[in-house]
Amino acid sequence: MPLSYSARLRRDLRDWQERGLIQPEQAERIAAHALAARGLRPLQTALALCILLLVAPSVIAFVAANWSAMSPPARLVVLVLADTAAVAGTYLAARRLSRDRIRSSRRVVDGLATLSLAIAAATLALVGQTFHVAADPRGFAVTVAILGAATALITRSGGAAIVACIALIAADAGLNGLDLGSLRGETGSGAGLWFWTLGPALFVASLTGWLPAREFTLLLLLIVLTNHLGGAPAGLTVLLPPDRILTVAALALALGHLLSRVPPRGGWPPRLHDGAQALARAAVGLNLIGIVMVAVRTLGFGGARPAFTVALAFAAIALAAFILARRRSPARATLLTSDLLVLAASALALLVWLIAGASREPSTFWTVWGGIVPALTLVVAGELEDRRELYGWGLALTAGLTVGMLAASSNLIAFSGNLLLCALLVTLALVACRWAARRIDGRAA
Amino acid sequence: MNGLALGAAFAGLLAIQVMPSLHLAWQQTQRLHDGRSVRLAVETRDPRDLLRGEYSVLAYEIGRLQGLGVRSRPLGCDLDARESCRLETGRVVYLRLAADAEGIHRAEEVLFEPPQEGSLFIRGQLGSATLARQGAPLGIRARPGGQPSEPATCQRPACLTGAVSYGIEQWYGAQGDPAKLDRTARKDVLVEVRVAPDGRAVLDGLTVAGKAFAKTARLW
Repeated sequence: MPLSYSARLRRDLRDWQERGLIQPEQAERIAAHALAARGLRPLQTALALCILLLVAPSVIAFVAANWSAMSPPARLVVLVLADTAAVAGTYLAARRLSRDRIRSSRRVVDGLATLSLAIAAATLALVGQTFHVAADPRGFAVTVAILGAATALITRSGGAAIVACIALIAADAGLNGLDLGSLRGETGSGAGLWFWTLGPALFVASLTGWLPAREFTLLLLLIVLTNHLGGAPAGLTVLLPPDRILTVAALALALGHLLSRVPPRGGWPPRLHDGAQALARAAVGLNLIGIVMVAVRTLGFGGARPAFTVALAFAAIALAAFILARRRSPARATLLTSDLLVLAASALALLVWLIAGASREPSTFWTVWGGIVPALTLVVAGELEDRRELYGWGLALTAGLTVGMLAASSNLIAFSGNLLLCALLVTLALVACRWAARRIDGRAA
Repeated sequence: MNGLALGAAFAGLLAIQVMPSLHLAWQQTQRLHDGRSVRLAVETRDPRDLLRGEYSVLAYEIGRLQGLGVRSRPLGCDLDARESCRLETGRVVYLRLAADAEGIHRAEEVLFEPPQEGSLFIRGQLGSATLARQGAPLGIRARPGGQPSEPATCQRPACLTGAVSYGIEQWYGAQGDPAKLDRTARKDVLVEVRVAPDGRAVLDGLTVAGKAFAKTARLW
């Protein structure tokens, strides 16, 4: 699968010509338009980025060299002035954007807004240091989340929204990483309240197009949501029960598909459509995390056993599959969509986790069927609809699990046997596919 | 969005972004000016915080309580039914302080509500802590002069054993200064603290062997 846009476009144009969909001169015109030289603009952008990367550390180093000699009020003034400059720059770029609608201005607004947020957070940390306030990582993370959400909503910055989401995750997990509180599954005091205040605002803003529809933002929000659902919030997503992750992922996928089918009316449904598609992609990412968690649990890490909530996860996956199957576009009514395959991979992983929890078979056996096979299903799903991210992540997960098992398994013969059995089943599926394709071609003839 | 509304929105954003820092700086300076002066004994350690530079951790004597008397029992701990109970982490407590003959403030008793009578007290948060009833064993108490140690029991209606933090456990200094402080004998280091009327503490300065080692800056 070619990675660059130009290579993929040339491949598609050649394919369409061979099928008689377009004429050679049309292909040439499309290629000339899409792959036209963009002049010196990319070079200017690259040089501007280089200047920024040189000047910013230089200013930081100069201020740092004189920091000890500056009085506390002078330090505060310097930091506030830096923040004022960043916010003023964002304002000027936002005005230019509202006037000219230049796409590069959107990136400048985004970058400056994120920079202003970073300066505000650094100011708070440095004021705390000046007055010897004992570190409070969770309180700091909550403050950064609030500042990030405000910055994102006012400036419509996707970068600030991502910072806010990461801060919400840090407020849950603590900035000390795997501390004892996180391992016990405790969340920071008050973090839940702030998530339920900021999370929905960021979610709705991302979905409706007020913020750029980025699947990464929505994925982070889904991760925090997963953390806060259920009876006892878990400290870190890595320690969350896979059934909870897969429940949220399936419901988000169904919601994304439902919203993307809303007929366009007025000004905002196209944006809602983009947001819904981003939500569906984020949900697929969460499915991938859920499958990784199943593999981790099957290998014996994490410790949690399947509970009755697995039934909820299966119900959510079934509901999502039903919605996806019923709400497909008429043109694709008979086709197997990649998202349905993703749901099938999740269901398989969950089923294997459920069986492995009650079985005495070694983890080698279950890791193949609960980790590698679902990961390969994601590869097939990615290939089916040319989804490069899904294809790449599926391959990476397959490779990671295989290498991990080769390095860590105590029974390589069992591992090899399970892989061969899996390959045999896939071969049977391939033969069945070829037979079905011949029959369909025969009927058509 | 028209220009005026956009300008107002960005002015609001600037206010939101700088408000936490300015509020913290103003609040700490206010406490340094108005707080009551307290002198605390410490022991030090030497970690580094990648986010905030070099600092010393100040472990206070009043941060490790060994069976300190409790005036009132907290809710959720029924000492009539059992000998002791664990208190939840993060619970706010108030320690009544009194100066000894050397002018160093020691903890007199623990309260779970702020004292009303205007006595000197400091506000802290519990780490891991246990409340024991009168007569319950508290651990082994060492005796002076090489005599055999004896088991200690709670002599008050209730006793608290555990860790308390006051938000003044870190001192940030210029490069090299925290390490210099950590090489100093523990008994020579004293911390000057200002305690606000609500019991919240601010680190005001450090003295080493009776001489001023560091002083916290003020905005005014």
